[in-house]
Amino acid sequence: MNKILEICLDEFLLPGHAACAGCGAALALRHILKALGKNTIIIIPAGCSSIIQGVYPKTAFSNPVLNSAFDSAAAYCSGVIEGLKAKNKFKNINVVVWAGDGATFDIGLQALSGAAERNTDMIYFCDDNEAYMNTGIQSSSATPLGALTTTTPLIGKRERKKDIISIILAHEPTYLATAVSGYPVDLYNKVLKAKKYSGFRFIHILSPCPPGWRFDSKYTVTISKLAVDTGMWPLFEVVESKFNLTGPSLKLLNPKNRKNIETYLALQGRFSKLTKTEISIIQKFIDARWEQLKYLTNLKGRLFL
Amino acid sequence: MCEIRILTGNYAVAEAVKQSNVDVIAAYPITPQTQIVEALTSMKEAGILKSRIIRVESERSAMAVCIGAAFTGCRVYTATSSQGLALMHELLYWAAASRLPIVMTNVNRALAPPWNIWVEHTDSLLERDVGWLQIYASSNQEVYDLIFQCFKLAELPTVQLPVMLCMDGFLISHTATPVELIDQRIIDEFLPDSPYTTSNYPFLDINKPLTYGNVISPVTNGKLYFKYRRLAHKAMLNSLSKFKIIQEEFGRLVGRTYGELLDSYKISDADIVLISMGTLFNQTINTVNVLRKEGYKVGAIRIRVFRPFPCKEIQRLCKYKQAVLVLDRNLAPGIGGILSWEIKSSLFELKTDVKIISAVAGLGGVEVTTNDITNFVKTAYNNIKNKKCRGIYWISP
Ligand SMILES: Cc1ncc(C[n+]2csc(CCOP(=O)(O)OP(=O)(O)O)c2C)c(N)n1
Ligand SMILES: [Mg+2]
Repeated sequence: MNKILEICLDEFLLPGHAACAGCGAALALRHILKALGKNTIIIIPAGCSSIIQGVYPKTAFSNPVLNSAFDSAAAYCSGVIEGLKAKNKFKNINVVVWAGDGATFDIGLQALSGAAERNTDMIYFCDDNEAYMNTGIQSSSATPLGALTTTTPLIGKRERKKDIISIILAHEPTYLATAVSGYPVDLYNKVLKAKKYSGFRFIHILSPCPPGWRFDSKYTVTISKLAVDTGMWPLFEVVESKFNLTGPSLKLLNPKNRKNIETYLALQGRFSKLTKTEISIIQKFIDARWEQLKYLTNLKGRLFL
Repeated sequence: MCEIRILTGNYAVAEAVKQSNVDVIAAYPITPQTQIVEALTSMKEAGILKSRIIRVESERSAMAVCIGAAFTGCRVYTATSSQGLALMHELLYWAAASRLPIVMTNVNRALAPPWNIWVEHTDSLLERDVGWLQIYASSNQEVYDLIFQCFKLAELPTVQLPVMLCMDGFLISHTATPVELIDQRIIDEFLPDSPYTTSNYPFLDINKPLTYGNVISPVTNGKLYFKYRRLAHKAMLNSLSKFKIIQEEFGRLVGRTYGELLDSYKISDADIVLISMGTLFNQTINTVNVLRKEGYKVGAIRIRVFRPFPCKEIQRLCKYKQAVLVLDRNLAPGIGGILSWEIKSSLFELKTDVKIISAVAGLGGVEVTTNDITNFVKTAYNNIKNKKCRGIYWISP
């Protein structure tokens, strides 16, 4: 699929959901569910998406949804899959987790690793808004260097963002991809592709958050595109142990095509305390990362050790 | 024909689970429960167990897998002990509040620090208010028989709650005794497939797209949250009479009964009643026999169902006694023995003169002998006669 007009017209995330204006997660979720389709069960741990669903007895989802404890979504998912298999009801069904960065990088990392190691037949979506947003913007291990949060309120976070992709890759997933809601065709295609595989699949989505990142809600798409265009959020997939850049990231191997990171940082209030030196550290880190991505792109053999 | 085998409690449990046509099993090893997991996985590899087994990376995930699988209408089972049960805590509440008929064996063991793998009931008693039924066994045969009864009870549409079957670490789990296995045909008659498999219960199903567990706000629909909590309470209370009926049916088919909610020994004419749970009861029977010869009118009660607590039965049996002596193989620091507090609140509304005395005994697996209990009864009895009040008695070396 190449054009946005070819995206499925059915809506599975219904109007009236409770996401904030300009929520990157709601936008991503909408396209993901279109790609997954009707036969999809969604497991959702604590996080903004517990709220986005709307208040009982109503729901904004037209798929079955099971809310789970904060740390255990991946294990709930294993249970649902085994249960459906035991009842011979698993054919042509997707059982997926839709979890925040806190539920993925931090408290749920163990259950996630367990499910990945068992090669559970699931797609795990990490909806990464780079902090614990539902509880009011506290720092997580997905929060990037320098970002202001309510637990790094004055000078910003001192540590770098955890490299979750390397951790997941170490589990040898059958399919892994990164995506943003601002490039929905790329996202949609990745979900379609993930569906074709079985075993453990992981899709990591950057979801800009207007209140959490402190920007006007009209910039959600702009910012998610800038995240990609600056090279800060490379779009890629790893299929059958082969690494491939995708969509707009394909041309970014040439540093000249990458926008300056300041264009991305300057739009967001959370980065307002960054010093010039820190910004150049971030830029250097991105450039170094792209050297690594170039190496992976040209790698002939297996990606995994 | 019934087959009699020499089995430890753990292997008796595994046999019963195999015979219960469980769909999904997820468990994580911990002493003294480990052999249950080992036995079930080796049955699976040998091709004699149909259940799907998921090797999880922690007890939290074991319970999470059970919750997920039970949400599809499956019969699910897990087993744990002590630290593992404590790690599950939050998920135990999720399971119960979701009204999932999960059955779990908890092999009672003390909690660290210091590390201690021996029997104590504090681990399961810490979970007394999460909404699980709790049943305590006192022999290998009883544990084996109870597995079937627990599934049946958990799955009753008027109950629909998870059940924790507790048994003493080592004293049951690792002690081999003869166990009479029940013919599979009888099990299949007593315990047909889970009613949730086929019926119209609202479980996860793509053809019935429902959302489970989203927010209930106290402003818009707070009454509903309240209502669901009340319904859980009601289901708990329902289980008392249902458990009696289930045991009667089991008794008719198999010929074995264990008392109902309580087991008792020589209490009708007793002035003094000793109350305990688990294998301590066997020791109290010895004490009763010894003291009866010396002229004391003593009897013994064993609490089998701890949640819901059999208040009415305790009231009926203890109302006209002189003294109720409770042996607590557990400790709630700052309160004392947990069982004795449950007994006290059960008897309070009767406004009787019965003295309730608590002895904390055998923490961390310390042996409690017949002699220890006999001495305790005599001392307590003398103190009552001489109107000497005393706090907790400690039965320790
Ligand atoms: C065991 C437990 N600890 C803490 C919480 C409180 N809590 C709910 S959501 C949340 C943060 C979620 O962050 P993330 O996973 O990034 O999702 P987001 O809200 O950003 O979508 C926290 C800390 C909880 N529900 N359960
Ligand atoms: Mg987040």
